[in-house]
Amino acid sequence: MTFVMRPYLAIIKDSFREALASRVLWVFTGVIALVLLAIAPLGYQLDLTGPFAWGDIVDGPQLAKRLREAGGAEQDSPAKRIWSLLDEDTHKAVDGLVKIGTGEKRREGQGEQIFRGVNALRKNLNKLITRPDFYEAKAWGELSLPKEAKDFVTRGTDNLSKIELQRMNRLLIEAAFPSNFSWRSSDSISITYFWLASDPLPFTKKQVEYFIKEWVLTSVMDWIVGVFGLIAAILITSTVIPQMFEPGSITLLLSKPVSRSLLFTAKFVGACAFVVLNVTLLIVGLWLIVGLRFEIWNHGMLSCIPVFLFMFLVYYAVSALTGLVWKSAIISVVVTVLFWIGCFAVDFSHFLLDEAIMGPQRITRIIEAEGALLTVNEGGTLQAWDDEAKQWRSASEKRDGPGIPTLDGPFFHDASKHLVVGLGFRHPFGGSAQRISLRVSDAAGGWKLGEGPPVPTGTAKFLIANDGSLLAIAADNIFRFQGDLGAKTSSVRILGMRLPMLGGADFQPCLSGERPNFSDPVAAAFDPVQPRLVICSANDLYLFAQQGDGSFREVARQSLASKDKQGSAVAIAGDLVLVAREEGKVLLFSASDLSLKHELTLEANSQPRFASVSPDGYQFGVVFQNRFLWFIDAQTGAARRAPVSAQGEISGFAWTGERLFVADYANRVVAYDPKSLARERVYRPALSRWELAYYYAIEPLYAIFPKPRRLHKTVQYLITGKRTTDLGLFQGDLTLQREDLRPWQPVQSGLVFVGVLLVVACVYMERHEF
Amino acid sequence: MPDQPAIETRDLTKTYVEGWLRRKRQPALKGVSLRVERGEIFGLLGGNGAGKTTFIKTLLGVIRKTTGDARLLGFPAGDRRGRKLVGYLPENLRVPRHLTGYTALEYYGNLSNVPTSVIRKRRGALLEKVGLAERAKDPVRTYSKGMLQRLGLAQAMLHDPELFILDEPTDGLDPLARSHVRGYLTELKQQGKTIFLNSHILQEVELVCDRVAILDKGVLRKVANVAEITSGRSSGNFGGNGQAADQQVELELHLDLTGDERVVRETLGMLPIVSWQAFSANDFRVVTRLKEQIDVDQLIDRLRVAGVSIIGLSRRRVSLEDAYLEIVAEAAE
Repeated sequence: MTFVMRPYLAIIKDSFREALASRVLWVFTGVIALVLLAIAPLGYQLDLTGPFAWGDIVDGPQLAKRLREAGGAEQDSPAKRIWSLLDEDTHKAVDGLVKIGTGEKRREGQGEQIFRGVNALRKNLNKLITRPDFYEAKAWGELSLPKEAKDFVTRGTDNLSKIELQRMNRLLIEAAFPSNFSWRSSDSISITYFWLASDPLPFTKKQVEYFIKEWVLTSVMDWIVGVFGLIAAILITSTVIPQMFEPGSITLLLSKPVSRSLLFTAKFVGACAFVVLNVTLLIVGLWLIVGLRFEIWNHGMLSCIPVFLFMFLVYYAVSALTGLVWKSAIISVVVTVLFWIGCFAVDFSHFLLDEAIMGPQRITRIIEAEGALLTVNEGGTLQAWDDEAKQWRSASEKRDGPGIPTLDGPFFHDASKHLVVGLGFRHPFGGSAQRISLRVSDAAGGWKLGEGPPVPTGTAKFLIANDGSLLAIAADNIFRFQGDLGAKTSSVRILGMRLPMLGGADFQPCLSGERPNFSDPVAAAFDPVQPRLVICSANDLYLFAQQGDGSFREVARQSLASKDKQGSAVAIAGDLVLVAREEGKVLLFSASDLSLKHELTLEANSQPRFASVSPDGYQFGVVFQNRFLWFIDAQTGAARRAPVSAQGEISGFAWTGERLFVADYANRVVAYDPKSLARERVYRPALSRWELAYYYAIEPLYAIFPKPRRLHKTVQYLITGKRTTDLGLFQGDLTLQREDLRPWQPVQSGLVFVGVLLVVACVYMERHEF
Repeated sequence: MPDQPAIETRDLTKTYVEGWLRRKRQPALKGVSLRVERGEIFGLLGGNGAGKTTFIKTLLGVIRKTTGDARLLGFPAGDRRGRKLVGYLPENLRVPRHLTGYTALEYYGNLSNVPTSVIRKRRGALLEKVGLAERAKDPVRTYSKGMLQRLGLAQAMLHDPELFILDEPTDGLDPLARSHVRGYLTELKQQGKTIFLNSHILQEVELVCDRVAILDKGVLRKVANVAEITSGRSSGNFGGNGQAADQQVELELHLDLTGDERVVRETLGMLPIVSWQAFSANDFRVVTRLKEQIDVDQLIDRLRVAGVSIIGLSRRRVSLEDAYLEIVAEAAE
């Protein structure tokens, strides 16, 4: 019987035989087994969240004030009970905090005093929660407790473990001061190794999972497999092809009734045997450890095996072709290393120019004020269009701070003719809420940003009402600014950083009725036509109507179904409330009762970034992280990709009264007629030398070069299941730029490259005389 | 194609071209015409660089011919159908180091498209035949050169080919192993197989081949039966570039003589003197060639009559090596 593929399968089978007979393979296998054994005892344990961590207490002076007031009151209350149990030193510290909070004028240096006071209070609270006699029924009698606390109380302190007692007492304290403690998961996680356990980490299990998936696994895969494994594989397999061409070996092979091209191809494929065996062992081992020890059964990890194999193939194609032509393992290795350097150089130059030159220039926000076109770019710089110089003129400096800078706005406060920007920093691990401060600028000052008035504690979002007033959405209230934006301000500084914890005296609370707790991440939007406001706080959606006296009253509330806390972008107009969710869906609710009307999936593989509404209230716009802009009819909910140019490159948009501005191609802004969408004007600065290099050298080179280094993005996609990635562990702020992983791009370019090299090698093999 | 000769070439030339910029042409085969019939053992003789391996590589399609025609079992040289029917043993065979005797046969057998199950049935007997049965499971890296050569023969026989092309099959083998190889070749011939072998060990070729061809610097000097070559009665030249010997020599006579040099020379008369060594003024060792035994007898009679003492005398047939050297030397002149 003749089976045409038998000879070629024999070559592949022989490659596996060779790999298994190789001592190097067993050395590698041993090393991998040792690594796996070393990390196998890693695990985690979940404990109830008991002691307060630094950062758990929100607005210490306010908490102190409440404690002090209740402590002196006649009637029993939780606060009185807590006060009675605090020691003398803590009483003094609380008194100190009260003085700061109630003081008329803040002074420099008080930030440190706050820090010390809050820390003393926190430590004493942590002592209190260990007391079995902490709970007194009469003190907490009327207060509604969360279910978890009620269950503990029902069981009785004698039946609780030490950590359960701490947890119960913590919940009792939190229930007494609901707005003074930031939200923490009921479980705290500790990392274990054998019998050793770390202190509880200030992260939820979900965050740890996220960290493991997004950082640990992808880094391990990228470095151990993608770099060291790859180098080893290239060195080891570099001899395969040259050996085949040794005299006495090749003539016998070529005398057999086989095709030369298929002979080479089979040998090429067979060389992967070594890589397949080792990568499979490592990845399956990791997959089992992560699954068994962390309960993360990430099947995407397994699909990384072919990706790494493919990454190897891209380099090996070079090695094999070189080996075929020069029949020398050393030349193969040298040429492959040069190729690696070439790929790295092109990829790195592209990355560098993209990240350092092109990326930061990309305009994300646009506003027209006092006849000037102002934009904010990805680097956070506020810039104004200089029509004479045909350039963007920078109006603010680069921001440095602890964490990821965030930006809210810019908004134009018409009454004071000031531009308003909310600046904040997010903790890269999302441990605590961001702290936002206000910056203002005006045309007279060349739009240069200066410090604005202090903002209310816990401010998460600013917006301009349709009556022109500036609103601040804080943790449990909505504030209206009633001061003078142009007035000089001073602030408390600690360790050189400005602390916006205090004051906000010019912001007046204006929420009537029940005060909800707006927890991070918060999104809010004002209707451009009617006096109403929508706020989306994590998974809760609120609709507020403005009363005649300017106060806001809650009209409707809706819970958004979601397993996790998600960020949103919102807009309201006409009959609909638009909520674009982090998961990628766009939800449309009734603007009267917040009942769900439509659920749209517009960009299946991307996330929404900004949402806005046209000033006439007829149309919503949503721009996605993959730089596509969509329009949604505010009456019917009908959606379409906006018929504007450069879709796929659009990073921001804004409607003003007369124009629609769309930012595309990094620093270009195009003004359209909002109705006909006819182009009216293009704002584009002349290309710099770097930009010329980027567009005319690096980009074309990058397009044709294989991108094996970028295959780690494919790995990241397969592990996380997400096509875009944010910069830190914080999830929820949609406005932060997320990188589109483009996971299949390196696979496509790699396939073309390997294909071309294989064809060249096969032609050489057919034509050459051995 | 059973009615076709096993190997047939007409005016086959091969010129190697080397160098990328300054191309250098190196002729390796110069119009070789040869026909090897089925069922014979044919030896291709030639020194190093004569073109023997080039000739085989051209037949197998490992390299391409420059001009002329070459056919293997009726198929054009290099045709996969022809290669399928050939068992080839290359010079200096290299077997991948990780293989054992058994797995090497499986590997090469599969490459000849023999199913693994068939190979497993045959390989034991084959290794037994070539004397490797005891080392069948050992890695080939532990094999000696002779063992590798025998393994190479086993792989060439594995798929039961019609034609064997063996490049220096006894190279590196000890005398016993050579004798074994001769045994296999005779056995194969008895089975009706054709064997084409390349060798520079002329004694081996003489012992086993039916016909030989002498290749020298890419030119085919002679094609003949071994007996004809050693007797000088050449025949079977196809291309006309082989030279017929002008004398029919069969015996070589070594004489140790004592006598006057002039008398000895006169007595030897017209006989060819292959070598003349003088040990002293009257002691000589003379090598001459004669046609038949009667000529030997007459020479001894003449020497004795002339008063020359015959101290020693030995007589032997002309070997293939002698004939080869003579033919090559004549070509050089």
